[in-house]
Amino acid sequence: MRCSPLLFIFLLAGQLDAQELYPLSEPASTMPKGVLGVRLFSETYKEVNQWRNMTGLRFMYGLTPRFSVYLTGIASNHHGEKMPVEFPFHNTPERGAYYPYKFNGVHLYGKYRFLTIDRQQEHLRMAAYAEGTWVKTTHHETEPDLMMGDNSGAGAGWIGTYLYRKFAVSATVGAIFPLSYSGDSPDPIPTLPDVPVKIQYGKALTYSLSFGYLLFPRQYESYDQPNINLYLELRGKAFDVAQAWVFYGTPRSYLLATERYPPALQKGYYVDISPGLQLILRSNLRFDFSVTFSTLGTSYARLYPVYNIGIQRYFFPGERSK
Amino acid sequence: MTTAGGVKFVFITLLSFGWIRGNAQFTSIDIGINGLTCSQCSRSVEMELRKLGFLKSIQMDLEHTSAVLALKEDAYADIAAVARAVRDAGFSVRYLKARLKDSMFFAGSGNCRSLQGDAYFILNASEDHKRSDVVQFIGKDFMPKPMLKQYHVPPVAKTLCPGKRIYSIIVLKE
Repeated sequence: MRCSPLLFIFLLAGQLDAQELYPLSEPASTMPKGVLGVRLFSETYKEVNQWRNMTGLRFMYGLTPRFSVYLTGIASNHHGEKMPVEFPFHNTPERGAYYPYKFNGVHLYGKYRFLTIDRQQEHLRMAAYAEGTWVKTTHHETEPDLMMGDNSGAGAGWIGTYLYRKFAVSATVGAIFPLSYSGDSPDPIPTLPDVPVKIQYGKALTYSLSFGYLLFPRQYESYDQPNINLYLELRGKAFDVAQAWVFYGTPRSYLLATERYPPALQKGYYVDISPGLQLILRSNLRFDFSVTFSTLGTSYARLYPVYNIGIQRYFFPGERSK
Repeated sequence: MTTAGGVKFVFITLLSFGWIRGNAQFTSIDIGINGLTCSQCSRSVEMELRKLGFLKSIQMDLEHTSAVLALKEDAYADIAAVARAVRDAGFSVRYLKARLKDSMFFAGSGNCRSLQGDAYFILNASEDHKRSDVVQFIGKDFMPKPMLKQYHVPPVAKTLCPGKRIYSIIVLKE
């Protein structure tokens, strides 16, 4: 499903308050020191006759005022025990296959805010981040994804967030360096043994541009006022072609020429658009809802639209004592 | 010298040398916070400030991104800790002003006052200021860098005004 971003940009061009608590992208701001945050979030999309769901439970902590760390456990029904049959020649990605819901692995993320220019109701902040994911999952496309645990690897990048008189925008540029995966691909003849394969996923450049607005309240009076925020996020990746070895680890091992790969393993790029709505209760309990549509290029790792939800809360030391 | 005058002289002398301990030096603190735009952010600042044991109450102003902090009756206010709490929440101090509990703070001569081991170097000491009871803290932790350039803190302040912590302050006209 495709959707024009111009409509949303036009709708958002009002004099409204800004927020940088983006449902999908990280702002350059960091967590308060000594505060623990817990976030439960998921991506869901329809694939043939079933719903794919990836869910993360994240623990966030402000180690210093400028440095935050996140640890996320990821579970999904997005990854099978084995690579597709006759990988990588056919049936990649393996649409509609049943995979059990299981724990995939963990994602570790650190963000350091190195530039802070604060003024009254205005700030410019920049941060650098590094992330790493360890999962034991079969991933069928060259596009890597660390946040939702499609594959193991490391990444790093920069975030810049600017807010001026209630208008906020944030941009992210980063890179993902995925590790390879070795596993088995069933032979199409059931009586024959599985074929050992190895895939080196493509390196990726990641980018995003996010906008945020506060719809309610128009004027702050207390922490108990519900906040309703509207967001628009453009996110994407440019990724390299994969490399796949067949009969890997045997004397017959060979690297398959990339021209023979299916589109999901070829280099590519895309930009998705995700309008989102956020409800914040008592200035702490946060509910995020957004839907991701394709605008330019496509991701083979998901099917559109992708429904994203998130619930988040901060826990302050001693907050119940007063 | 009358008896009352003698008592006042001794008190001022003791105050000037920091020999009176255990008294609160301020009754309230007015603090402006930069970079703050949302109620969650404001709440984060308040939660960091709540960790400070010498505060009696915190009144956050979300619209003007400022706060008024009332101090406990006999508690000595750690001004550096107030600024640090704002930074720990991820924001910056725009200004920090404090209302003196006792105008005797300005009694005596010279630019230096000492309380609880902390030194207060008055950048604009004059006779007029003895009628004021509001001071503003000057320093990189208490205001944006561009504003700090407006003030001249003499490098000899540390020598003239020794203390565990040395605060530069200006007295505000009421």
